[in-house]
Amino acid sequence: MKMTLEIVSVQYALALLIGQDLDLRTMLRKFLIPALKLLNGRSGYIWLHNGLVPEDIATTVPNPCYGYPLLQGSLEQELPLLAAELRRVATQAWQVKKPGEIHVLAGVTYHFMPVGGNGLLVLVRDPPLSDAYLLALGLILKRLETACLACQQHAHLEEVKAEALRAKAAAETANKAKSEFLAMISHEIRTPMNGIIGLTDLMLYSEVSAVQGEYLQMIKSSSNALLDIINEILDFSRIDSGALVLNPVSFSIRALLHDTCLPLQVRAQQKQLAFRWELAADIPDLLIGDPGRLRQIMINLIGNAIKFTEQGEVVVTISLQSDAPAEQVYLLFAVRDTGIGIPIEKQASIFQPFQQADSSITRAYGGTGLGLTISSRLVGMMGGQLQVESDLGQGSIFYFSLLLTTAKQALPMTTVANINLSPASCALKILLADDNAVNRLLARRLLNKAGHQVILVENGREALEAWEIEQPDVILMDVQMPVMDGLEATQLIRGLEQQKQFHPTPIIALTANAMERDRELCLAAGMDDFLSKPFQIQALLDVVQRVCPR
Amino acid sequence: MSAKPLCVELFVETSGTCEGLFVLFERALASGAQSLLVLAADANGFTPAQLDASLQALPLPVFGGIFPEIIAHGQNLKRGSLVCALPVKAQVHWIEHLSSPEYDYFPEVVALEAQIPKGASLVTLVDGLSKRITSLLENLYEVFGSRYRYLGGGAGSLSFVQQPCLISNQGLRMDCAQITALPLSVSLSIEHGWHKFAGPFIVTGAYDNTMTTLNYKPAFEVYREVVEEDSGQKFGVNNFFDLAKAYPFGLDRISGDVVVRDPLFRQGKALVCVGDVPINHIIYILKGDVDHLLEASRRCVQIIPADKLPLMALLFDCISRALFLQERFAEEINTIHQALPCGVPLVGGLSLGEIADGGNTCLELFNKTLVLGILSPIEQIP
Repeated sequence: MKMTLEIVSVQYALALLIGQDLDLRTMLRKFLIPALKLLNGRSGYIWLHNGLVPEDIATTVPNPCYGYPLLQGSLEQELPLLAAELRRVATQAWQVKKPGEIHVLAGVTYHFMPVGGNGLLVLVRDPPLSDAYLLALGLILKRLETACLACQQHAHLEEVKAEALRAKAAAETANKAKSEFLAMISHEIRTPMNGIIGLTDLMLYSEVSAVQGEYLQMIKSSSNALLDIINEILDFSRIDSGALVLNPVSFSIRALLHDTCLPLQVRAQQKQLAFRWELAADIPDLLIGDPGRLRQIMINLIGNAIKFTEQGEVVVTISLQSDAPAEQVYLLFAVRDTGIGIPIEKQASIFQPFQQADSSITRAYGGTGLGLTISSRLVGMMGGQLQVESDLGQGSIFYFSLLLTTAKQALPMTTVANINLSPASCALKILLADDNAVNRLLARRLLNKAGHQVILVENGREALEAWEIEQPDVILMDVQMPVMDGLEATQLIRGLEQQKQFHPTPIIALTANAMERDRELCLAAGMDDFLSKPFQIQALLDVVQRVCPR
Repeated sequence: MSAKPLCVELFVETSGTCEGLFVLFERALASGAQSLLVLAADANGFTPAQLDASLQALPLPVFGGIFPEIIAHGQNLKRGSLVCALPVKAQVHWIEHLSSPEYDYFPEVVALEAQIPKGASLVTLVDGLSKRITSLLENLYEVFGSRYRYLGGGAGSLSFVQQPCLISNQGLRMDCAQITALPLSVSLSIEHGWHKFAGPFIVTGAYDNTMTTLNYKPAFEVYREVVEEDSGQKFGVNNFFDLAKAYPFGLDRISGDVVVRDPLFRQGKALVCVGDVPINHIIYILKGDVDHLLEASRRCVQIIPADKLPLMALLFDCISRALFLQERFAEEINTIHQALPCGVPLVGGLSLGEIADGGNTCLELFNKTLVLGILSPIEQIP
């Protein structure tokens, strides 16, 4: 009776020692050390063989997956007699008589006990355990087997998870590399584009024949189309990498819709399409949102509608929906056309990058296939979902709902002024640093036409020297230049200004790096403003006027 | 021509003063010692300010501790100090943070292994009021295994206030373990004489050396019920240890063995012991009587070799045995002293926990137990 109580007590205590960790070695350690104490054992070794006989068993005896105390070297070196016995057992598919075998090797009593069908416990204990104990331990070791297998499964899952994380990290690295590549390519394309567009503008302001004027307009139009594509790729890259953030401000929804649709009306008229836009009267005019990105979405949707419609009409509506919380409005934006429509099986894929409903569309209508993806992602960032309903040959409706907060006062919208190359009211001495000869020529001509004096240099080092000698009113600084880049030159100029207590010279970054991060770098280096290439003439004059208002 | 036989010289003083101890240092150094084992009684009230400078100035390796009482010349001394002049060079190592939860001793023990000569005996002294002594011992045995023999105990004060209690060349230290490798062989005997009295109980709540619940009831409530009924006395505000010293706990080991756990004091309804109490373990309340406890000391001297002369006997005997046996404790010490060959010194400490590797089980921390080590020169192969 007393023996039974003792066995049950030991079983209970041992059972509760099992499975205290998901790491196999830790779990076995937390079991084996107290188990040895409880059983008055001297040492213990656990193998988890999973029923497999090692191929090299003839030459190498596997070390235990945990032993207490730890083996200092191999089992064969430290316990050669045990190693020989273990080789015999392993060779026989790890079969051990149940409930266990007792082997006395050089006066040491070893208990060989199966850990279910997947493992083996060798316990050193003297005097040997009775059969009653071995039977009782068999049940415990079955439970230990389950815990071991759970640990192995966990380790496998952890490994899979780690592999997935490694793959994710690799994908993120690749994605980052892609974004950097896109930014770099964008820079490389935008630099010559600045030259093409700017020089075309310059020629258009000079006296040219009608045919030459027509050709120049075509060059300008093609260049702008190319620039649009680059901008789309850049936008997509920024959205994809999470670098794009919305800039919510208060704005007038009516002014936004009008300013967006008016230029597109020209394109609709050219295709003899009816084009109208409607905004429900009960919609509050002042809202908070990102008007720039909203305009981008509308331009994309309306532009597509005009592009893919050969006859009929394009209608833009913004209507009010119910159930908005206080001081907010639900607006439904919809662009309806009577164009070619989209087959139902293609409707889901058109929001995927580089997808158009039909590859023949790319050939017929052009475009990157990124416009809808960008619009869809931007709508998503604003809390809505861009959706489409379409019948092939009948037309399409693209629509989305946004919850916008009403505002008290709108920020003044920037209006596009007509280009005015008449002499500026105050002539300035402008230092221009740019390593691209075409851009230097273009900027000098444009600024000269506006009545400014221009000093040209080719890198940051020369800019620094020229700044010291010429003391210009304003510096236009390219960022990527050989010898010394624009950021370093700016930092040195700012340092010298501080040292010599000079009044700071306004420095404007002129760069083909159009990412937001680039703007931040320029401002952090001490620049006052930022203009990305290719720039419009008026934008250049405006920024000069802004930083140098005298 | 044969080599001069090794011998240990023992220097004892009973004033318990620093000056008395410093005189012992001088005498031990003059004897040509290679290293010094220093044991002092807690009642001396030694502080780092008093001892550190002198300890740091000693030109030999020093190890030892301050114990509630010390053993010298077959007597237990409540006050006084002893210095054992050893004829071998000791190698003293330290492991710190013996109460820090989650501190991993394993890497430090692995690092120690390379430094300790094979076959050495490890005198393992710990701050007996540290909380993770068992964790350290598990790591020691995990790495060192049975390649070394272990012998030692817990130093400290019966006030149960943790204070510097380990003696070293750096001064007095606390909350750490001192592992001293001696190039000597050791024979060990571990005995206690307590027997199971009530139980089994399941430790349903415990952490470190604190037992919170037994059979899902507050540990103290369970313990009080048993002890008060058997003793006919009541636990009051200040008499916990007076009653508890006669009723230790026993961690169950199969075939009737137990490892004793000494309840030191209560903390609310929890009991704080010397040494850890593992959760989910089967535990008994033990009881002993004077005859059985003294029988333990008679059994332990059986390891003393009859055919060769050992260097010395090192005894770690639990202080609560002395408190339980009271005036008859002298018999326990005397039994051991009398069994030793003439001229072989018996030294030791009445400890807070005893450490030994019995040779047939793992390294453990014992309580209310006597651990006797007979140190002899390592036999040279001719």
